[in-house]
Amino acid sequence: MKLHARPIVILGMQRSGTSALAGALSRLGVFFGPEEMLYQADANNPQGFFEHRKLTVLNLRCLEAFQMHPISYSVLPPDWKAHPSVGAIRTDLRDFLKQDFARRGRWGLKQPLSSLVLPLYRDVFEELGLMPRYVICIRNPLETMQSEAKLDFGDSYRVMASLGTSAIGSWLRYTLGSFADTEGCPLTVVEYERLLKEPKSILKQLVDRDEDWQPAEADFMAAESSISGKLRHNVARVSDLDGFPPIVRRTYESAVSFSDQESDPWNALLALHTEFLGWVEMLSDFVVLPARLGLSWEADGSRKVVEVGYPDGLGWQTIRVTIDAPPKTLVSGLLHPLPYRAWIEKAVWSAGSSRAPAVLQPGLASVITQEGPLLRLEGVYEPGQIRLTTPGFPGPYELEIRFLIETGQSISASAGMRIAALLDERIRSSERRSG
Amino acid sequence: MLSKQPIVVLGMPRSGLSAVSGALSQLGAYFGPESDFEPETSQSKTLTAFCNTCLRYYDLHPATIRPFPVNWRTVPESEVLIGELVRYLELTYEGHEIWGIQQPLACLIWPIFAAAFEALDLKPKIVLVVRHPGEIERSLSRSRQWALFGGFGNSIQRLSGVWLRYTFGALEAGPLTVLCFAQFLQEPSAHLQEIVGKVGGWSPTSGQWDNSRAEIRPGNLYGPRENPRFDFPSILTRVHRSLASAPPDLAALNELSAQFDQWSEMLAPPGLSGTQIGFAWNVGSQVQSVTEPFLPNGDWQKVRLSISAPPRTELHGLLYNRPCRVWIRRSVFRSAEAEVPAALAPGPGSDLFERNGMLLLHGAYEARQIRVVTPPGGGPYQLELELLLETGREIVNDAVKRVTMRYHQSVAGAR
Repeated sequence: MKLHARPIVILGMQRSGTSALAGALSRLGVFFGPEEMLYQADANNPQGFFEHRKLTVLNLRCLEAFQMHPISYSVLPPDWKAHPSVGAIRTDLRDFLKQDFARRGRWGLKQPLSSLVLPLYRDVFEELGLMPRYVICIRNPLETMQSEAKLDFGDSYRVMASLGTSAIGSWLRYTLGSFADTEGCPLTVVEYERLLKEPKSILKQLVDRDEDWQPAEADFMAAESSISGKLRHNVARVSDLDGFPPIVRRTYESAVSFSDQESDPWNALLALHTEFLGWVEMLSDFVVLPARLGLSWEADGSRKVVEVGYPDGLGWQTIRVTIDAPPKTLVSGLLHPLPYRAWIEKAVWSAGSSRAPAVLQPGLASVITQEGPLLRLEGVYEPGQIRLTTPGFPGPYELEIRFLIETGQSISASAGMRIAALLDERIRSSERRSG
Repeated sequence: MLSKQPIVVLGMPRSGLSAVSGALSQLGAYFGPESDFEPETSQSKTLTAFCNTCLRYYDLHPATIRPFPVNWRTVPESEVLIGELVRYLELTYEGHEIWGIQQPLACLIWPIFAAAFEALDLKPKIVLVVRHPGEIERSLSRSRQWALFGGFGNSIQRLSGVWLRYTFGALEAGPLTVLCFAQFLQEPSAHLQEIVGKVGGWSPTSGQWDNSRAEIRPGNLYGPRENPRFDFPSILTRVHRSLASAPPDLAALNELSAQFDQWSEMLAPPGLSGTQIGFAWNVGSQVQSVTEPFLPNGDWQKVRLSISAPPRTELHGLLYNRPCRVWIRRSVFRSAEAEVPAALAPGPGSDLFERNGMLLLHGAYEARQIRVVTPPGGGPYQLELELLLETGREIVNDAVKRVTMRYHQSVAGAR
C-alpha cells in the first residue's frame, strides 16, 4: 500500500480560489478522490469542488470535538493531542488517506476546513512519512466576503446567514492560521487574481517544485483553460481594506508577497498571527461558572454533603474528596451545573491501603458510555446526576477522579435534544396506552 | 416627582465606584436605602438583580465582551425591562433632591438605562471611575466577585477585553466626568467639587465636605498602580492613558472605540443558522407534512405554510432546530372562506404563555414543539405566523433544565 510521499494540500478561506486551483491541478494529474466521492459541481462552483466528502466529515468531527465552528476564530488548544476524541479521528484520517489515495500516484487534499485543524494533519502526515507541499490560496478578503454573500443555494435554503464583516475575521483566521501551522514546510502562495490572469505560470511554478512531475503540454492547456477570468465576479482594491483594522491589509500584502525563496518569510506573518490571536482571546466570550463536585449521602438520619471546587476548562485534572460514609452507602451528586461532556480516566475509592474502583452510574437523564479505556459522561443538571456506592471495606474514603470536562452550546443543544426525545417518547407511549 | 439630575457612577467593578459614591453620599446625595446595599460594594441589590436579569435576557453576563445587541428594542421584552427600571427609579428616589446610582453592570446595558432616563425626562450626570485593570485584577481576586468573573480564565487578554467593554460601554453614555481613581484618592475634594458643580442647586455644607474627605481612605484602597506581572495589550494602555490625561483625550478615545468595535464585528460569532419550519399531521395511518425555509434575522418575520389537512386536524410543528424563545404576535389560518385565529399550544417540553400582549414560546428542540388544530371550515389553509426568534446560551441551558425536570416528573408520575 504505497502513498505518494509528496501530496499537495490546498489551504485557505472558502471562495479564495481553492476549487479553481484544485480543478486545474487535477488536470495535471493530481488525484483528489474518486469522482463519486467528490462534491458535485453546482452554480457556486461550475467546474466542481474537488473536495472529498470523507475529508469534510473528518474536519467537521474534529471541529465538533473541540467545540469549534467553520467560522471559528479559535485554534486547537496546546494540549490537543491529549483530547480523548483525537485518537479515533487520527486513526480515521490515516486510514482514509491510505485507503483512498494509495496507488493513485500524485494526490492532493482540498478542504478549506483543514486550515483550522492543520496540526492534526501534520501529525498524521509525519506518521505516514509524507512530505506535503502546502498551497495557501489568497484572495482579497472583501472579494471572499462578497462572494460568500452571493452564494446560490438553488432549491435548498441558506443554512447560515451571510457572514458580513465576520467574513474578514474568518479570513484572517484561515489565512494567518495556515501560515502559522505550515511554518518551516514547503509552501507556495497562490494569489487569486494572479491565478486567473496567469494560470500557467502559477501551475508551472508548482509543478517545477517537483522533479518527478512532468505533465504533458496538453494537460497544461486543459488545466489552463479550466481557469477562467469569468470566475471573478467581485473586484476589490487593496486600498478598500483600509476601512478595517490595519492587520487586514498588512496580512493581505504580506501574504501575496510571500516567497519561499526568502530566508525567513514567515516572520511578518507570524507576528500578525500573534496579534490576531491576542484579539481573539481578548474578545472571546468566555463563561466560567464556579465548578464543583458536590456529593451527598444519608447517614445517621441526616443528609451529609461534601463539596470540592475545581477549575473549569483547564484540561485534564484530578480531584480528591473525602467521604466519611459507611461501607456500601449510595452517594450521589453533581459534577457541573451546566450540560457537559466529561471524559473520566480514573475513579477510585481508597482507605488506608485498600483500593477499589468507583463504579459511576448516571442519573435519569444523563448517560455514561465506555469509549475505549475512558468513560464518557454526558451530564445534565438533575438530582443524582452521578451515583456511586462506597466500597465494602471500612472508610473514611478518599474518592479520586481524573477527568476532562467540556461545556458549550453544541453540547447543551445535543443534551436538550436527547432528553426532549426521551420525554416525547414517554408522552407518546402514555398516549398509546390511553388510546 | 423625581429630581431631574441624578448622578450615575459607572465603571468596571472594583474601580472605586463605592468609594466615590460613598463620598458623594456624605455630601448629601442619596444612593438608595442602605438596607438594600450589598455589604462589599454598597451597590443596590435590587438594581444589581435587575441588571443581571437584563444581561441574562440578552445572553450576556458580567464578564461579557459581547456588545449590547443593536436591535435590542425590537425585542418586546425590552419595553418590559425599561418599565421595570422606570418604576424602580420612581419608587426609590422620589422626594430626594440630590440622588444617584452606582452600578458597574449598567455599563454593559446602558441603552436600557438611557431609555428609562428618557422616559422620566431625566438628564443624568455621568461619572466614569477609571482604575487600571492591573489594580482591578488584584482587588477582584480578593473579593467574592472574583468567581463571577471566572478569574478571567487566567488571561490578561480576557481581563483587558472585559475592562474595555465596561469602559467603552460607559463612554457611550454621552458627556461624562472621567475620574481616575488613583488621582481621586490624592485629591478627592477637587474631583468631588467638579461633580457637585455639574449638578445644579447642590451646595454641601462644610461639615459634609469634612465627612466626605474622611470617607476616603487611600491606605486601604490604593494598590500598586500597575500590575507588573502583566504585559497589557496596546489598545488597553492607550485607552487608559487617554482617560488619565487631563482633560481626557476624546478624539483618541473615539478612534480606539471604533477600532474595538471593528474588531468586535470582525470576530462576532456566526449568526443563527437557517432551518425549515415544519408542520406534520396524520391522515389515517399516513403522516403528511409541509416545510418552509426559515433564516432567523433577529427581527419580526412572517412565515406562511400551505396546509392541506382536513378540518379539525391536529398539526405538530417545529419552529427551530435548537431550543429557542419565540415571540408570536400573529397566528392565523386563512382559507378561501375566512381568516380565523390559529390557537397555538406548546409541546411537552415547551412552554407558551402571554407576555406583553403577545405569545411567547419557550421552545425545546422536540418533534412536537408547537401544536395547532385546523379550523372547522374547509381547507386548504394557509397558516401565517408572524414571529421573532431568539436563541443563545442561556435559552439553550434553560431549555435543557426544563425538559430534564419534565422528564423526571414524567418518570416519577409513572411510578
